[in-house]
Amino acid sequence: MKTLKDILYILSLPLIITMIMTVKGFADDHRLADIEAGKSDKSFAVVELFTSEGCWSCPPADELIAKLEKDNQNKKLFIMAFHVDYWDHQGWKDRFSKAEFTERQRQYASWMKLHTLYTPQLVINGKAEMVASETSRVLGGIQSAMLENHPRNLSVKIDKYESTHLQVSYTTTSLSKHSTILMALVQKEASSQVSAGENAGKSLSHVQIVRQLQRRVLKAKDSFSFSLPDADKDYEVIVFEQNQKSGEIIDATSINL
Amino acid sequence: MYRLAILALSLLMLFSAYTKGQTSSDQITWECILKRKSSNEGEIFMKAKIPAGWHLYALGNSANSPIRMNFKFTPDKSYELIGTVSQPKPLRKLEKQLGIPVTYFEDEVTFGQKIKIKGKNGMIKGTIQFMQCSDQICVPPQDFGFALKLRP
Repeated sequence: MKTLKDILYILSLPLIITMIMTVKGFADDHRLADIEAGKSDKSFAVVELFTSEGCWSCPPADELIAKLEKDNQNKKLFIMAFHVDYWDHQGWKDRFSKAEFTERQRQYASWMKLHTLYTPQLVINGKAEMVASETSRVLGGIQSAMLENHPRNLSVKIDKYESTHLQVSYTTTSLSKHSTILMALVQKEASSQVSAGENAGKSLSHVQIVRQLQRRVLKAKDSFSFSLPDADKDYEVIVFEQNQKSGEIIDATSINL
Repeated sequence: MYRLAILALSLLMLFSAYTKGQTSSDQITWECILKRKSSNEGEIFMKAKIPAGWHLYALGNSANSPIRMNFKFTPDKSYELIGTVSQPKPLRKLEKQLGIPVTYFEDEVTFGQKIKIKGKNGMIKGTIQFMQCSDQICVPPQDFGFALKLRP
């Protein structure tokens, strides 16, 4: 009889663990729905993902931001995926990667006093960083960012949009010290064909890929020009103000093309 | 007693789910030594200690993949290489992202490079370029430089 009791206790272990994981899963789904519906959007969340097609621990992070972006009705959630170039070498290259995106990640490592870079890394509002595939931490981080108090003084408009040429201008009433204004040209979706290996031909999909990033000293108003890399794709321009001493993102907005 | 153990284990599982991220002490470390077999022959042993939860990619992975793992030796008149770097049989798995099989090591691995010793004094200098990943993150390729003195 005692043996049966023992067996029952032992069997209850996986059950308890499954229950905990299920509860965590439900909590994450709930958080995701809240964020997408914009329920906790007192403020904004600028989410920067540092990723690469060459990083094999990155797909879960790419999937998470794809999930966030898919049903995103929240006008204050701004997602950008920066493809870093340190996995590139002769014989292999991520076509979305740029050295300046790696430089941006290095700048965060310096602001946050991290001793190494890694992928997939996620930065929220320039203040918090985490492993981008840790769903609960990422969603929790976005929710807390959206509860902060930020004056929102930034507005943006499209001045000119002709086939591959784009001109975007902004105005702001907050001219805080040490601030720069950044504009990211973001391609909404893309898929890449795998050219090497046994699964050549398989496609990898991405969302919110940063194709160009420009920065200047913050003024009351200014305008930026972009040349679109592929005219037939969908784009968004994300504009944000960042403190160059701390890395904190002070204000953000966006416009769809 | 069992109840307590089950509770403790469950809490541990829950806690570990939140703490399996990257920490700064997860660096692979290298140790290089030269062992002489005779007056004119020796072998350089390059041992990597791999922290738990991490892996080091092996030699011989596809050149069309992002993996970088190589050993470079600076030529010097005091020695010459015999053959190429040897390694034990690595572990193998299919990387889902690119759909190619990759080989790697866990825990500890020692690579070897045989050399012919030509001079009495000299320096064997080299660089190990390696890549480390965990199940969650990858760290950019790193270079480890070493210098071993040849003594008569």
